[in-house]
Amino acid sequence: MNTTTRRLVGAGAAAATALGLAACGSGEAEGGDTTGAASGPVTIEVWGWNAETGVQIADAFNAAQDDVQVEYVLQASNTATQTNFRNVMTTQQGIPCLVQGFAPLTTMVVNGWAQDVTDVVTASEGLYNEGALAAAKVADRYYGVPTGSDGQFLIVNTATFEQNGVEIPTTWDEFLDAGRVLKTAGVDITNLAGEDPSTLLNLAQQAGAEWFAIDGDSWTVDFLDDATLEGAEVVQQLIDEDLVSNQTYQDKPALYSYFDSGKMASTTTQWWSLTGYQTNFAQSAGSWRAVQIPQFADATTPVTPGRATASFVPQGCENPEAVMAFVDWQTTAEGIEAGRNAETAAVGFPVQIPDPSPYVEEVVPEGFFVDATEAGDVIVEAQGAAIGKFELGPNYDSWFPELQDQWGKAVAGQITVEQALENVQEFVVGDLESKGISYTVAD
Amino acid sequence: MSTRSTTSADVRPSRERGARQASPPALNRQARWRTLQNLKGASLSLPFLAGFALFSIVPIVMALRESAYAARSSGGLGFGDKTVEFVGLDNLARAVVDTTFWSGMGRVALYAVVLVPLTQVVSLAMALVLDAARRKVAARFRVALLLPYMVPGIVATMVWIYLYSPTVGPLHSFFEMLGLDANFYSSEMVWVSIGNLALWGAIGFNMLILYGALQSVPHEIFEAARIDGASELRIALSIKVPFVRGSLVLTTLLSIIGTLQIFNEPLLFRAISPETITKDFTPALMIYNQAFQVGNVNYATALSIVLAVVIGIASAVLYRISSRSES
Amino acid sequence: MSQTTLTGAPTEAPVPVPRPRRRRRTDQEPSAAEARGTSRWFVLGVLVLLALYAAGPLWWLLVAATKSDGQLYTTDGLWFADFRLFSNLQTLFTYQDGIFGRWLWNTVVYAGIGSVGLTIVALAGGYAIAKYRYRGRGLTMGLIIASFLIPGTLMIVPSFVLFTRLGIYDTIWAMILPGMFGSFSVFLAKVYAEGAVPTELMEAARIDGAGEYRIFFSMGLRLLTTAGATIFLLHFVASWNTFMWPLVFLKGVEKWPVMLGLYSWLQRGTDSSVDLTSLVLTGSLVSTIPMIALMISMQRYWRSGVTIGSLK
Repeated sequence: MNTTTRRLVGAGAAAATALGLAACGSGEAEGGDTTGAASGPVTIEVWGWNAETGVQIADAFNAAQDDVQVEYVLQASNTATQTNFRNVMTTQQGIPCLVQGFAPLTTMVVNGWAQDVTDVVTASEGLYNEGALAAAKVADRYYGVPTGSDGQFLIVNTATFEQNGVEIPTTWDEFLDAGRVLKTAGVDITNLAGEDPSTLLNLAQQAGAEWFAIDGDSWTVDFLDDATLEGAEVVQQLIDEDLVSNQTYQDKPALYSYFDSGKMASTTTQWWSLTGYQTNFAQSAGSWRAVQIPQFADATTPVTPGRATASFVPQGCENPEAVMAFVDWQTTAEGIEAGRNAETAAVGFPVQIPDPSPYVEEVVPEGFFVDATEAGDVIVEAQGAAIGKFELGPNYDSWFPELQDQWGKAVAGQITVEQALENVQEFVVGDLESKGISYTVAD
Repeated sequence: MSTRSTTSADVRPSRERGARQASPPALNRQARWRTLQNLKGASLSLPFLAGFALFSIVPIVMALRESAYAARSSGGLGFGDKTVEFVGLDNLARAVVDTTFWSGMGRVALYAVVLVPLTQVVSLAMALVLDAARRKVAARFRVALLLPYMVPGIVATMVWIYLYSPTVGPLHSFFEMLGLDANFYSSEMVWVSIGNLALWGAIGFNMLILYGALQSVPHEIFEAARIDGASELRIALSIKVPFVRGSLVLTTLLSIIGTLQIFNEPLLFRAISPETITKDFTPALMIYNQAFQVGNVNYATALSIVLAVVIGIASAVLYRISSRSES
Repeated sequence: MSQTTLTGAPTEAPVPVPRPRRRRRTDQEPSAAEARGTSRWFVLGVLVLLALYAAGPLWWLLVAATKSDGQLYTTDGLWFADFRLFSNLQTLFTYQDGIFGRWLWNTVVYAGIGSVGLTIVALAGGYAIAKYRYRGRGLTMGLIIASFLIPGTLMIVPSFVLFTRLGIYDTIWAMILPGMFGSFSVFLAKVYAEGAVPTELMEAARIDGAGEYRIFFSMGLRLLTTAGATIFLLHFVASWNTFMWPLVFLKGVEKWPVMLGLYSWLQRGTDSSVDLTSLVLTGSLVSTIPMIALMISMQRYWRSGVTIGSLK
């Protein structure tokens, strides 16, 4: 799942935070937790919500060298990290040195939370793939540490395709055509959840859209460029011709039973969803194939949508080099091995390194795909072509709920996707205006 | 040691041991004695007052200050520091004329008009029935009736997501048997779904409060009523209910406050029925969105103040009605 | 029938202490509050219906906690599949180095100490407001009601700043102290005290020479046992089920209370390959048990109150 569902799932996460600039007496700048002594190891505090392997990775790193000691402070969730981080920045006490990305990197920069770490990152560039590096940049400076994204690919129910004599699509046009044929047999080509606009974002990113661009000292806003509209057109046809189902992610049993039923021919997905599918697909396990995500007809090279929320070094941390040492270590074989989950016996898929193929076997579940090796290849390929970066602008947290609202209406057929995008752009403009941020709207 | 029969609450303060009708100097002495008494009694509330001031009043005042400021970016890409300036009542003024806010307010007000009385009726019924049941029976059922309260919100949500599900849940097929097409996830039924979820979660809590109050009803009154030939229902409605009016006012008050501030249930249904429940659907959702998404805590605080005033007025009206009907 | 008259004879010193009966003489003898005759069946019927509404939905929780991961979403929710409750329980208590047990213990400490403290503070406060007239009483009531109107979420950041200043951030006191001064419980105590503590009794005690504090501690508290039990239970449950406050004010995972832990497990499934929902359900079931046990053991405090009757 993605940011949308992450935000919506989990009832009652009403976290009160404040930019807190008016809070009384918040100017106690005691700085971060770093000891920074000339002799002896540097201690850095790392925040994340990886309950399974966060601490063990830190422990392994501590044991493997003497210069840096990592203290992993487990947070309850993504939103919990956000709340706690805001509070810590308000009081300026106990600021950690590395925080798992809980919001887009540009937001961190706009709020004055992320440090410019270009100097320490450029030295390690070779360890990471293009997408991971792109995700760590804002305006061509590194404000975050390289973080890999999860490349999207398509899984198809071969039984359904074969039964209806349809070929597996390689472009979006073919995808729509396949959908039309399947519809006559009462099958949906895919699921389009009304609460999750990530489909639209993925298509726009894949088509090469740029909703926000930096032009000198001002933002250029364009939600209606040709690339976006190309993606919107695909969605519009899916909706208009009723080629999709609208099952919500909230109702998990219904979701899985629907995916499993053969009434849904394909879905876009990423590597970490596969375990869940394998556990919960009783009927269709074994008839799925992984293929490259359909491309746009005018694409020159295949690209995979994928966006990472980069982890970052907060302002107030005095040891970014130590942080980089820790992050770099996790690209080594030793570091990856340290993340082996004791319960599931699998490693976390290292999406930030250039070649994750040695580890792909661990993430391909048994008995799920028709051909596990082929699936592994597809996953690696998808990672290699992952774009990694999609600029979400200085006020993403503001306009994303608006996009959710508009998307819900579009999926329900109340407005067109293009109208939805227009409304969102209008909202973005109004919000930037009220915040005093410079922008121009592209024509 | 003294043997007196109690009359009604008309006990004259001058009945000190051996005292006669007081003369003025004695009156002063009694007044002082009474004041000292009152002060001593009042001192029992000091621990509460101290803690309340520190842990509630101070943070509330600090929070309310936020509404008098506004933060603005220093231009450009928005990367620089924000400037915070004092704007006085601007945020409040904006909140008062905010149509989105007031339409949300209207929605929850209508919803509250239905749900608050319903919640009180069901909770009161539970408390009365529990009180009227035989001791052993009551002991067994008490826990069952309290279970919704004991189960945490996140779990309650999961339970009802399952029950509501049109595909895997039992309610849809159950109502189909009765001839009704009840899709609890559809936008038409969203208020019913939210309402039921809220009702189910609230009854245990309310019932406990009301039941506790019912325990202090003097039993002679029941005997007298039965001798007079009153039916059980009459006893329940005319004797028990008025006796717990204080608690009933309290639970109604809390119900109003909670219902007008409703947040968790709409948030859940925002994912299920996103074309209906937008980000500003209820005042609480809007406040949350302003504070944590838009990032404008100052405006969010102003909205909270307006919401609090509205709820305060509603509560005051309730209080006034209840105390007037008492006399 | 004088079942619940005061035992007028004072046991010690001048304060006439009403001694409520410890146990009914017989269980067949109905209390005055109970319905008689055919109404009994109506009462039972309504009780059963309401209990079904209240407890029925939780059947799903019970069934779900006995299922393994693979069966949680794929089998009928209202009936058992393979009975895996014990293996789920085992996983529950060993996952993440057995932290669940630690969380349970933390919760017992926070909820227990906090609730005991609150009960005393609230009963004293409510009693004072209800039974005495003094300057500032109206203001106190006004502030109490006003405090209900402020959404709790807005108070989190100022509280965070405050607690950091006080040095209680990331300590158990941040969990215990704020809850001990809850205004709602005082309001509740006030409402109960008005009904349960007759002013005449207080007067009688005063005439016998008791001081105000004596009256409160010997007499008032005894009459307010139902109120105290209700306040205690309400706060215990609220404390047990809270996760927002600990999320903000506790740093280390070994200090978390159980609901925060379960919340974090629930969130795991949203963007990672682990789905801990089955653990969360089993954990929720387990964590309800102490509360039910508490409720049952406290039953005796919800007995019918004493009547004024005649102080003979």
